[in-house]
Amino acid sequence: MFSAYYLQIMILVGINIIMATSLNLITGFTGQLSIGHAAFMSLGAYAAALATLKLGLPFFASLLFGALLAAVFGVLIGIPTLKLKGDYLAIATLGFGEIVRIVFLNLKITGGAVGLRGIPKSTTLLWVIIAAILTIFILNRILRSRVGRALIAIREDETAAESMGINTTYFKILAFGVGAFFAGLGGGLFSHYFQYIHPGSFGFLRSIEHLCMVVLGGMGSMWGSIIGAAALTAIPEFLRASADYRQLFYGAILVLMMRIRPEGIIGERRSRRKPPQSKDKKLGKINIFKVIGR
Amino acid sequence: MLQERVNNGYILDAVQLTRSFGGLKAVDRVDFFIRDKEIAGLIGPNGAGKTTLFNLFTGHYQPTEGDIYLHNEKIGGLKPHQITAKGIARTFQNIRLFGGMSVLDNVLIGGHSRTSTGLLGAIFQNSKDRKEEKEARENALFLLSFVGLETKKDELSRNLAYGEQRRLEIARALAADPKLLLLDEPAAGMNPQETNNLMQLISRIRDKMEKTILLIEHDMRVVMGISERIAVLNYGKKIAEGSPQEIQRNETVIEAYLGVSA
Repeated sequence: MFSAYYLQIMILVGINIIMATSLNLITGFTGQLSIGHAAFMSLGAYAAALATLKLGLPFFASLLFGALLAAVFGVLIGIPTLKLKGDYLAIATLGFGEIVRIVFLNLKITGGAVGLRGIPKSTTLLWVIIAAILTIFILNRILRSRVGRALIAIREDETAAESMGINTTYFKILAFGVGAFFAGLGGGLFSHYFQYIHPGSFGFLRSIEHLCMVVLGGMGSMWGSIIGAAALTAIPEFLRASADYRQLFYGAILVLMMRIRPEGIIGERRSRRKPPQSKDKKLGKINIFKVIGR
Repeated sequence: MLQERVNNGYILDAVQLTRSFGGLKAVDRVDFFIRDKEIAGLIGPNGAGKTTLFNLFTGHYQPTEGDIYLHNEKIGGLKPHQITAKGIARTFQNIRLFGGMSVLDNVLIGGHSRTSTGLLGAIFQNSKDRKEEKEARENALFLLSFVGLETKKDELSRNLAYGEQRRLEIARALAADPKLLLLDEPAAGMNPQETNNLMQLISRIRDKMEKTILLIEHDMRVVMGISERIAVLNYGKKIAEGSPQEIQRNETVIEAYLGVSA
């Protein structure tokens, strides 16, 4: 139907939509700046690949296994970092990401620096589309419920949220757990498409890439993350024509975007009941500095 | 003596409550009680420890010494969210609304401790969760109409006028269905018209909703106008307690506010 090249781009777009929307739950909606999202992805990728290779689990079960394992680590990273805010939390999640990478680099079962090969190519475009839609659907349901309101309240004002009876500790861990679950799902799809993973696939830069998608699209906006993920996956490919300047253009787009629209492509439009007042640009912004805590 | 106080039927009872910050005793061995369905006032010069006392009641600070009882149940040492669940809700001196959320959502969050839908309930939305959400919305809309903000329900709360934000904070606190409502300077920054409306609102909350109210307020017209009993703090110590008339005549209170005459 499509050439292999376009198929690969579309699959990557789908996986990145899962990554960006799940990170948006943690960073955009709950306000917890995380730059270790690739670590959850790698946990899911390795766990799902090993489940297929060593345990012989069917594809679907491997995906679920990877996602659940990532969720467990999401909760585990949530517990020690709870008291941290803004940039301190960012550094801690960065450290966590590096630990995960280095552990995979040194473990026998994960193949060390060589990584894992010969993973069956089970991921199809259909699987990715189903997974992405399911992710968006579930995250949307969460966000429009009592749970989602609690998460957004924590972002808006943690002290006030506590006074409303919200157990902020519990809900922050929950955000990390759910976000990590879907990141793990994305990882499982990733490893079963490329058939080969190594620790370098999930480095610090990939976490930054996920964060860029969320910020560029608009923090706290589901559509923003979807568009951000699609744009930042596709743009580098379109820029292939000017191979030498590709990264330069890519960087320039990010700089310009933050200069012109720091609230992202779809900043603020996170509520389906968007009142006319919020069109006011000055009032409608959620910018990165608020989440960093400056 | 202590046992006697505890079983006195007070809704809130603080015994020898002390909170130190380093060497400073912001609240110093304060005995304080609130009767059921009463409107009580808490006054004192700036820095007297009024807000610290509030923060002790709501669990934002832990007592250094002393105990707090809500309906004879010890609540000192509990976390804020646990105390809200037990029945104390508050507003803040510097308004702390969830600015990026709609007015209705703010009130819905206030009802957090009275609802129970969890992660799985949010995802699968069975009939129980849908019913709970529907009831929470109805209740929130009722509270918004009670404070006169029903037409603003879809606006972002940060876009409301100042007086409206104060009223929204009260509606949000009421959504927690508290036994005791703590208002921290509700009239601060209000014009006379808004202040009048606020005083009526506070009386209506007590009369129609049968809540007990404790307010900190600098506007003497408000405190003296609606409080039935007033406690005065100065330098962390309670220096007087009584009816508004008694407080107005109290020498120690006058001294604390105006200084000692030469």
